[in-house]
Amino acid sequence: MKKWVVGFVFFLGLFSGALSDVKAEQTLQQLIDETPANGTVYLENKTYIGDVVIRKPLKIKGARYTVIKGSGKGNVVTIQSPHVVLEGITITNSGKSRSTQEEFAAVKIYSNYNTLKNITITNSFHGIYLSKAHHNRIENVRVIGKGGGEIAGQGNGLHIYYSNFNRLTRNTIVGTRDGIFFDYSNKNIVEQNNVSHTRYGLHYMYSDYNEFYQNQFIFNTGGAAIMNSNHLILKNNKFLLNQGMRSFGVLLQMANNNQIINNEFYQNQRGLYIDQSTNNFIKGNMILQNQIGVELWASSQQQTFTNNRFSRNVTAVLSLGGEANNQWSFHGVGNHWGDQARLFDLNQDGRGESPFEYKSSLHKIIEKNELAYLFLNTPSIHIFEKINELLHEDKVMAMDPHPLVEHDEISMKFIVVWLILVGMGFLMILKLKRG
Amino acid sequence: MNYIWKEWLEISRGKAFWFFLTLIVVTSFSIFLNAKDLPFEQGFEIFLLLLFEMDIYLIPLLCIFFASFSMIQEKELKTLVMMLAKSDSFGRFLWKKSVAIQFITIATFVVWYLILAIPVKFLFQFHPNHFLYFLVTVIILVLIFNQIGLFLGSVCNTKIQLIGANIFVLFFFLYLYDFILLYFLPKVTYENVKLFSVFYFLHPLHTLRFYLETSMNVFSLDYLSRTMEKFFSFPPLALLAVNISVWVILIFFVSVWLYRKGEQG
Repeated sequence: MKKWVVGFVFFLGLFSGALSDVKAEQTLQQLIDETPANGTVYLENKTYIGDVVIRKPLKIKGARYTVIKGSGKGNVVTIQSPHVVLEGITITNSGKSRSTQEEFAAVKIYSNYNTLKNITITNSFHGIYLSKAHHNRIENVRVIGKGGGEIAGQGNGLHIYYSNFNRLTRNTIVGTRDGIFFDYSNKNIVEQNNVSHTRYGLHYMYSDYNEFYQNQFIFNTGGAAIMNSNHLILKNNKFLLNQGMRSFGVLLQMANNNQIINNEFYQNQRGLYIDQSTNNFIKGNMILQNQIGVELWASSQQQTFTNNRFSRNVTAVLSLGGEANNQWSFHGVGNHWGDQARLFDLNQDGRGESPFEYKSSLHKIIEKNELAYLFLNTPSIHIFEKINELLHEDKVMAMDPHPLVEHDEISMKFIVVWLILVGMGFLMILKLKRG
Repeated sequence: MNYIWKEWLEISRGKAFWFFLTLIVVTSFSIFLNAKDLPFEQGFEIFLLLLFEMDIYLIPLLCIFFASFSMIQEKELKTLVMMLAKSDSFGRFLWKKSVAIQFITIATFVVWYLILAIPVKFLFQFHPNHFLYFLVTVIILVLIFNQIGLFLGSVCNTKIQLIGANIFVLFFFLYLYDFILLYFLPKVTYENVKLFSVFYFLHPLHTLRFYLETSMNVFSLDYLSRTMEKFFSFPPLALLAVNISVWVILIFFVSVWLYRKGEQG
């Protein structure tokens, strides 16, 4: 009997030990609940089990290897209180189900004035989801998506829904559906973010008065898709290498009164793609080595292009679907048209003496079949353009009344390097011939 | 191996090879100078694409002229007749010649691009797998246009004939082929787009660009229209295999067959 009692007590001890372990693993929510409002929770270098809900203002600070792992059935961290700070944590494993009422995220914010800093997010549907949340700061957040696969199978890096006055700074987003998605969200500032390998790096829907500075979009299907959104400012951003049959640096669709200033469009299928949009102001952009610099559909009217620099695009401007009414100069300042414009500048004031008509015949084949885009990077397309020019089959794509002229100066360094190379080549041949 | 060495000695004595090498070095170095201001993270891929853009003009031109003239020289100097008289068949001769020319030109390109990769590595974030894809693309490009050059050299009898044939073939691959495709483009529908795709990708320059851009994840095949999805339904590696089969293997046997037919005639 004594043995039985000892055995029973031992077994009970083991069982309670196991229970206390389970208890220890559940302590993150307890830790949060037990910390007084405006206090700080310091997390250790270990994996905490989510999901957690924060209902009071406090600061949660992670160590170097702190991970919060979600249950895979909901939001990993839900912030319901204002003035929460979340810093230095890796958050992973949100719910991914698409048959539930809500879309889950690694961090879901329902409140205002929160700060998320130095966070890494993996294996989650959305990265950070702001739902009717205003005046929040999202800084140095890194969201790693699955990359590729079915479009609906993954969410967005940062999802901003009915949320205003937020600031998104220096975040990196790779391989999600859309990098940053705005839905009915106004007056947000987005700066110095880096988005790559997504569908649309930036996706605006019904969101007005947002500002967008020094961001970089590379290797996406589309750089920034601005749809049904007005009065945005896009300044000093880079849209590079967005290549694919439907790719673009910036798409403006039913988007009006936006300002696109001093951005760089380099090696995209289309630099700017404008459809059903009016009154956008496009100034000082570098549009370099794209297949199509600007693709303008006739449904788009009254865009103003000024002081933009077109250089080495297969076609600088492509107007499709008929005549459109766009301005190619503003207050007497036109655009730089690169080598395609042979203009005189007799008084050396940096402006051509006559208006410049940019002509092309590519609209003829592109309007008939989308497969024509396949030929834009082939050598034959230049000959095709030349033949149509000789046959007068081309059409005016843009008429710039005040084109800008640049006076090229050949760099001395460039000449010296070339002379050295050619000289070395000759010397090598001579030496080998003698030897 | 002996034949490769013999070919190397012959080639290195002539001016053509050194002109060939100088042209490659100078043009690729000028691209390097133009690309040096590109961003560190993405500059490497852009540099490789720019280099490929140059190669699609340079390699067909150099390889076709180099290989075809090497072949016609064997005919003009009567060394071909001497070798065939020593019980060598034309097939065996063409095989040895092809191996030697391919080996020397491919080695030249690979060695130079490996040297060029050294300064590039300091300038950009280096991705070895992307560089490997680029080398594979260049090797196949050289392989195809060398073999076409050898074909032209074996079917032409005089240098004048050969120059005409070379110019026509270059014009065909750079322009004419695409003009023919563009002519049929308005007639392409969802039903026949796959057939159009076969002809489009039978052009080695289209296939190699597609292979390079998709393997480096530069060209997105996501979110395509139904027609485009059908058009891009062939895997890039399969398209490469088809191109090698047609433009290297098949053209080798056609060269032998046409030479024998000419002999009999």
